[in-house]
Amino acid sequence: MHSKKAIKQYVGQLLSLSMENGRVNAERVDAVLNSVRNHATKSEIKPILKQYLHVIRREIAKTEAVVEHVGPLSGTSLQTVLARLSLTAGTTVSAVTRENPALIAGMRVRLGDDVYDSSVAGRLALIASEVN
Amino acid sequence: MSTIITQIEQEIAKLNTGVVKTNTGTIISIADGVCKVEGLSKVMYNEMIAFPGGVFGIALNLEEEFVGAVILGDASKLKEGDECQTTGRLLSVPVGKELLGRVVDALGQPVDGRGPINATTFFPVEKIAPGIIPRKSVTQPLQTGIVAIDAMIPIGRGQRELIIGDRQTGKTTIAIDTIINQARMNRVGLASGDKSFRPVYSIYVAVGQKNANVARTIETLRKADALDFTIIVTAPAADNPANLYIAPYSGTSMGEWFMENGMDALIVYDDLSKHAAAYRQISLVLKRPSGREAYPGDVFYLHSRLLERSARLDKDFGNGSLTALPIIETQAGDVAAYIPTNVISITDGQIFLETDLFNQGVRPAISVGISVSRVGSAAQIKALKQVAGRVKLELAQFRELAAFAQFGSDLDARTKSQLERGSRIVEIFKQPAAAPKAVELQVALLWTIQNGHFDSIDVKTITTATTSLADFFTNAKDALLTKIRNEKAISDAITAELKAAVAEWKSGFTA
Repeated sequence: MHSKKAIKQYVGQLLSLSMENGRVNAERVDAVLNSVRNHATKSEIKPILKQYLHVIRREIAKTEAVVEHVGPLSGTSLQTVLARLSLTAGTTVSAVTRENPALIAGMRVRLGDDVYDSSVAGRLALIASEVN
Repeated sequence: MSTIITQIEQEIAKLNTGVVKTNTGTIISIADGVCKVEGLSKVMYNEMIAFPGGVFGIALNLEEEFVGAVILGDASKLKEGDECQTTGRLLSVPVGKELLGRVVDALGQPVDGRGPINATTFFPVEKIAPGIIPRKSVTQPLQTGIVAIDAMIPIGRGQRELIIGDRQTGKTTIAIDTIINQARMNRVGLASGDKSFRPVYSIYVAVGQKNANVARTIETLRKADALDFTIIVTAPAADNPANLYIAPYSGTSMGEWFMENGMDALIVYDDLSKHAAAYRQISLVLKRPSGREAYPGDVFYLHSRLLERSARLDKDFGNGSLTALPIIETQAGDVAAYIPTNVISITDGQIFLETDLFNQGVRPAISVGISVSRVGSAAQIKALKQVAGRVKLELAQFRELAAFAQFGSDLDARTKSQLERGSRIVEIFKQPAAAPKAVELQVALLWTIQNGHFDSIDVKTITTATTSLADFFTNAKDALLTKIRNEKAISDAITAELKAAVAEWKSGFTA
């Protein structure tokens, strides 16, 4: 299994084994890692694990929202946001919160490739692009 | 001051103040104006992608793990890790009469230093060509002003006629002369007040040309007073390959605006060989599978979808037209190479230029034998058909006979007369650059030679005689030329007048 294509196919199978109810499951991931450690050859382990990390990160990003905010974020607001996102994504979405003063005010949420921006910095950037 | 505040308030009011949703991605590699982006899961094919710093790109490769995009503009400030986002828009360029007389880049932005273009309409760069129903057969001529072409390889409005030949054989000159002739005819037609007159607007697309050559072309058009009816789209050799790839499509969108609004337009692609090479470069960097001569598999589609957009529309669809003159540069006269054969099969005919003829002083160096117009003869005016109907055959026969005549001098009288007539026709077709001839003048000159009035003149002085006769017709017989132009056919009365005029000129002509 030296070709990139073969590794991608193999990792694709590992990914499906790591999922439970549309989410990445920590126990399953642990089992997959054990299996790779025991069955893959020494030269194969590194490229497989690198690719595996890449796809797991991508999968986690689909169900784990990164919520950037300025100032205190109330639990109710966060729950409302997560409820809406879960509805859109079709699965339960969890959150990681980060304080970002560059936003000036408001909130920016990233879920997978999608970014939902209601911050003042985002609106100013929009005005700048409209004016230009 | 209050106006400024109101303007800003209006801008703010127009904005969507709710949550803005965008689909984003991250640049994972960037080289040669092409980048790979991870993410952008909702991007569409050919959609514009916004990069930091106001730079845009187009999504060309949608793959499982990444998106391949070409960058339009300055890619030097972009780096790996930069975030980009989808825009939901297709690449569009400004269109309309506001662009006439201007020099723009592949994105329709002015590069002539004459300020912004106040265009209000934008057309997408990629558009589906008109289907079968809106189209109509070619019926109206597009006069190039070049006698050899208008007489033997006539072009109609809405036709696609390829200009093909080696380097330095006069391909661009033919295209520029055609543009100059359109401007000349536009001025005459608009000044005449004839309501049925349809001006032809020109678009010259320079792909991969040296900046010095483009500047020279602009100067030629300016000197000939043709710039006011022309849009110049330039993607010079130093531009990134994405701009070279987009430029012909941008020019076509500008031409389509005229066509869709019931007007006639002419577009010159100078040249599609360099366009194909730019697309090959993009495709190789995007790691698309390469085929013959390393071109990607869809290089035929690259040109077919471009040239199919030139058409003559039916009256119910506005009656507009877009005529295309694509240019292809061959290597050592090889018309059977990949790109030339592709474009030959797409177009409605080709004008083949030969290096040998060019070096012999036959300019334009048109090789009559393999040049053809498949649909244009339907659009040729009757007067030209009457005088030029046999010329192509006579000239082809002359070339054959001339080749045989080199081997011996024992020729019968008929062959000798064919050679004599042929060499005179060759001379009459010689024409300097940027000096297009009006169709009525072409008719008069061809009538003169077809009726043997040049037979008594030495072959060496035919060029001088042609110039002298053209001047005589223009200066002294303007009424006769106007009659030919209006009647569009040679009646008995016109024949008599032509006979008298030529006799009058001959009596005063000394070589």
